[in-house]
Amino acid sequence: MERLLDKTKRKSRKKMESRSPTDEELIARFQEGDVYAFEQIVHRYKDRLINFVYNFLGDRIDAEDVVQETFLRVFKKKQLYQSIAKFSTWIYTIAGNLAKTELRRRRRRRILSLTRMGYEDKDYEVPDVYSSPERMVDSDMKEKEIRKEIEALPVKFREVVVLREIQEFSYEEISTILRIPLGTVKSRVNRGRLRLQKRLQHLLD
Amino acid sequence: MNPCQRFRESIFDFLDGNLDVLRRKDVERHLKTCSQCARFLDQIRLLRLRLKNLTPVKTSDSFQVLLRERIRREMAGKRRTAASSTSFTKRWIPAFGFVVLVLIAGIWMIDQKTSFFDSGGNEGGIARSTTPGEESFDGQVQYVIDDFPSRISVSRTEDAEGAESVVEDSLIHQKDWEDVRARLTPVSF
Repeated sequence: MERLLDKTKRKSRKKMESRSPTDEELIARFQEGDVYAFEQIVHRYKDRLINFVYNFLGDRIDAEDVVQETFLRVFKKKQLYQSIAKFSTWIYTIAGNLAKTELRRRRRRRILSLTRMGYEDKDYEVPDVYSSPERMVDSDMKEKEIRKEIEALPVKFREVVVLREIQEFSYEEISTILRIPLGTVKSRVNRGRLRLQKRLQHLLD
Repeated sequence: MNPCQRFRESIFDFLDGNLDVLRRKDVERHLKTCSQCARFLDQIRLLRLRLKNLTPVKTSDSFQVLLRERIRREMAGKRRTAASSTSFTKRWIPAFGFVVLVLIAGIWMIDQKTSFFDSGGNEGGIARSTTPGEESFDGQVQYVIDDFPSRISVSRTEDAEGAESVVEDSLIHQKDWEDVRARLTPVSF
């Protein structure tokens, strides 16, 4: 009987060791000085965050800069994270705030050029799932148009639409990230969707 | 409110699966009869799909290297700041201590000089009384005799040799001075 119990214990320990650590476990390890845990966090979040910030700012270089700054803040202020909150909402809050600061900075400088506003010069990777070049070009154009319309949304709608529809966060998580009431999140997401539906109708039929 | 408007208001809850059974059935019934609303629903569904399937953007290959470099620079800057603040302390605390010592010495010397002049060093001047509680006023000290029937103000003067004398209009004579002095209370100016 004891042998059986030992075996079960060993198995469960092995399972624990083999599964990848949660974000919260990683940040806890990093708080204790494990820099490798930070590297894992970066690896896990860098692409997710750049997707969020890029769709928010519409500029890849700025987005990459904001994401770097986000990780730098996590590195410097790691002790500010408390395990009562989800790590993902914490890091997205930092990234979202930095992205909004970047937007405000841009507005102040008022040096937005038309090429920067558009997506014409962006070099994001397109997956090779289309067989014919025509389809690829068509799809690429549609995508550019969609991104353009996302960027044209007012900030308050844009941030919730990106978080909900692209990043697939729940309404509750968005409410935590942006620190706004749940009802406001739902209403903003719906209004954002309606605006996009009106502006992109030709792509949706 | 017409059924289409009602439907549009709850379409997102319908898509999110947040409607109760009755309301959901209501919406489904409406969709079967209204082609416009069915089209609207399809458009929203497709929009959500298109947004979800937008090509993911990836960070550049050098992202992690650049980040490491940024963190390294940040930490080095922090260390430099800490080191410079330490060297500042190391350099400035002794200097500050020295200045304080010089100041104390200066104050002490000034104090000594003043005492020297006060205690007769200044030969041409009139020596002030060093008795605690006594006030001097141009070489004259006024006193009040408490146990006289009325307060009588008298004055004494001191000459260059320090000899005391009672002013002439006073009621007290020179010979009684020592006796009276014990009963005098100096008047503070």
